Amino acid sequence: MAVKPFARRSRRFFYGCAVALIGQLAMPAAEALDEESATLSASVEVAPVFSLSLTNPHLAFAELRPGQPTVLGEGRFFNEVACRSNSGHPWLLTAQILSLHHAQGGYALPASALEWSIVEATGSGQIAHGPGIFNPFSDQSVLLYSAQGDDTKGHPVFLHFRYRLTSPLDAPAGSYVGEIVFTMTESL
Amino acid sequence: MAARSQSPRILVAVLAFVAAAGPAWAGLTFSTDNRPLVFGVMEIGEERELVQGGAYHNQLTCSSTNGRAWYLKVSLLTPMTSGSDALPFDALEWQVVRTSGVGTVPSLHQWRPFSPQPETVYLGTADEAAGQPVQIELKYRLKIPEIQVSGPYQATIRFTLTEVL
Repeated sequence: MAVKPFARRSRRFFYGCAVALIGQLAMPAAEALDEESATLSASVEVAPVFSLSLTNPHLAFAELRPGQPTVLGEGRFFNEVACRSNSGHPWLLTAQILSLHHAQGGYALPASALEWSIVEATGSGQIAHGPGIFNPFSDQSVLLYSAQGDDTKGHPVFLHFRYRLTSPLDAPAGSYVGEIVFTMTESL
Repeated sequence: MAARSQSPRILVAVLAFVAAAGPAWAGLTFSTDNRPLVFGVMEIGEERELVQGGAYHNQLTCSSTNGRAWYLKVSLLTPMTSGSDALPFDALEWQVVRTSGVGTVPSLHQWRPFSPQPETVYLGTADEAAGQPVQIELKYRLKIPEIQVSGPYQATIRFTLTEVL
């Protein structure tokens, strides 16, 4: 007989636990919306570009009169230099005259007798000394253009050149030949 | 003695309820073939499609036993980035090429640009919530802009399967 009160309490306790457990189990399952997700990685390697090309590479001046300047590309431009880089780093375009001498050898015209002018550029960089201004070449590298902005992200830069040659008054008659080297250099 | 004999009946009742409620938790399942989107080396201005065997690149498998309709969405968590440089979101596109289900594909056989906002890939029906798997096959396309800094670019794509009330 002494067991009966305990049995009743115990039964109520277990019923209570069962109801609580059923409530806990049932409520979230009835209300929550299920969601699953998964991820995938995507990758690409964008290839580097670093190029320089030149149109009309032969600067042929007609007959010169000593002391009288002659311009190639009068009116529009003579040739076009195209540069492209997507390295993300600034770059420079420079030029240097390796030689400008009499075809029969001996006498050499000074490098400064030949001048360059960039009349227009499609890039967002800076033309050294400004557009349309003639500047002398040198036997050392001279800066022509400094790239920046989109020029460093693959935007093609087209530079249109004119050239002007003035032979010294004491230059011997005859043909002169020379070579100009354009160099595109990345700067960090 | 009487108390001992009643406890097992309560336990049986609870277990029976758990068994009946079980499918509500295990109802929605989603898996991918875990094949990453590797486009390799690409030139600026180049466009490349990513497919395996000319059909699809990823196969996704969705199933539900909850009796509720569900939908699958996709998003690009961030643009493809390389350091401080990024490809535009819409440089990467996806297309559903096939599904085994009878639900709705808003853009079947149409290229869709990725976006940071989840976009619906597939909308399942309540009839498809009885446990049968639904396969969805996708392919991808990437176009490198003409103006883009070189380097390795990476991003994460997220697929999310969600029930509809």
